[in-house]
Amino acid sequence: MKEFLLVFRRESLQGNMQMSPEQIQAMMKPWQDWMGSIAAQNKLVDAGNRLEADGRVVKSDKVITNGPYV
Amino acid sequence: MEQQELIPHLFRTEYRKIVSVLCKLFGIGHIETAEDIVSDTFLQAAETWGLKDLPKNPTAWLYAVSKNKAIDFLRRDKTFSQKISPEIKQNGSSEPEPEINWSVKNFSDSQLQMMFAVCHPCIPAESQIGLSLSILCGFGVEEIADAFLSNRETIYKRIARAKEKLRTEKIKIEIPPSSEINNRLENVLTTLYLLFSEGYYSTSQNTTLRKDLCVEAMRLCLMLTEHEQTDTPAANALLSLMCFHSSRFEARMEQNGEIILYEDQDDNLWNQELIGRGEAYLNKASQGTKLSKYHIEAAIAYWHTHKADTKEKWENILQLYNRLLQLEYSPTAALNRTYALSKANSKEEAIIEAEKLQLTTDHLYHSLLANLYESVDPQKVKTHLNTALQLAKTDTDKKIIEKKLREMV
Repeated sequence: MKEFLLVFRRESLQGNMQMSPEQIQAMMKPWQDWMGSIAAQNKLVDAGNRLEADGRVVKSDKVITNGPYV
Repeated sequence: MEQQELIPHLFRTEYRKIVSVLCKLFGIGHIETAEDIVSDTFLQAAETWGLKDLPKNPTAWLYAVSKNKAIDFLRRDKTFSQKISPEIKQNGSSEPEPEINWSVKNFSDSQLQMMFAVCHPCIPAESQIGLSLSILCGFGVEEIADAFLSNRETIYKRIARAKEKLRTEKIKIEIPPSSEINNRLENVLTTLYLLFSEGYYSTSQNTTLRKDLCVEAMRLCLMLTEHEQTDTPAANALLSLMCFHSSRFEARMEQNGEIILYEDQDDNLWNQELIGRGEAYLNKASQGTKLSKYHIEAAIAYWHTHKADTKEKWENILQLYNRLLQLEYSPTAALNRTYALSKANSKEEAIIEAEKLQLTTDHLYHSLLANLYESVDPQKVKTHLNTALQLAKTDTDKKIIEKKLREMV
């Protein structure tokens, strides 16, 4: 079977955007159910890891910035 | 205790202790000698303990007689008489007499060390279970064959081969050094997990034997939690899992060994003491940083000790199965996850997910689909139950499916 690497990214949450535990749980549920669904079909090679919060963007003109990550 | 019950009772409790101490003393190459000595000792007890001649302290009698036999063996053994004995003589003592330590601590330490030896990865898993049952639990070949639904010959050969392998690989009877202990302990836990499952899910009709297997697995696991080096979160999680499962032992089985499904069980028969112990071990397990599959399975089993069919319960179980599957796939976990999904989310969603699993050769897969299509599509229920019936291998499974088919009409 072919293997794929999926990278997910989203805006980081700033101070006043902090979510309540209930909100986090509600947000995580579809994600966990989806991961569980893939794993239940024995199609999950690796559950993966979170990316570091402080990545850098390297552009072709040798400019390195710490965002925006587009 | 009546005379005729005393010897079998002592055999259950003392055989493994004496065998372990003697194995430790003789080395891995002489497991059979150790077993022969202890069997001989019990034979002698059966022959000489009349109603009048019962020794005052039968256990001490067993230790003393097996000690004498052990010393005889060591004297006859070439290595001992030619190499060790002269050295002891040189060091001043005139009569070399090997020390045999019958202390509680040495019994416990020797059994733990033997556990690591017989669960050595150089022998296959089924041999590890067989050897554990024979040496650490004092089970006879016949009982082991019954538990494995196999025959004496096969089990006898399997155990003999395993002993030979341990001998040629010169496996040490010891607690592995700290650099290896985690890996080796993982192997011991897997064997105990399989030993327990063998009892819990075995298709053998012999319910007493099945319960014995579970009890033995729990006893060995308990021993791990009582030693500092092996009292790890994973070992506690496994023990917790075993407590939760065995709390339902009385409720899940009819007298004739037929399985009563979870939904149909009388929860008054659930053993609250075992549930309490399971919770205590689960608390003890929730330290450290590594989440083992035993943690997750224990947590799932914990939620199953709540009979009430709440959304909260099934949502928790679903999320635990989601994590378990990401850690390690198994068809059973995939099926159980889908069942939890139907309870936590909806039957419709679960049907879509179930169809994706495509475990079409597994009778449980068709039983699950039959369950999900209930009240949705009676025709599909019937088709899946019939397929399940064709695929089911054991009488117990067939009876459950036939009962469901009858209830449909």
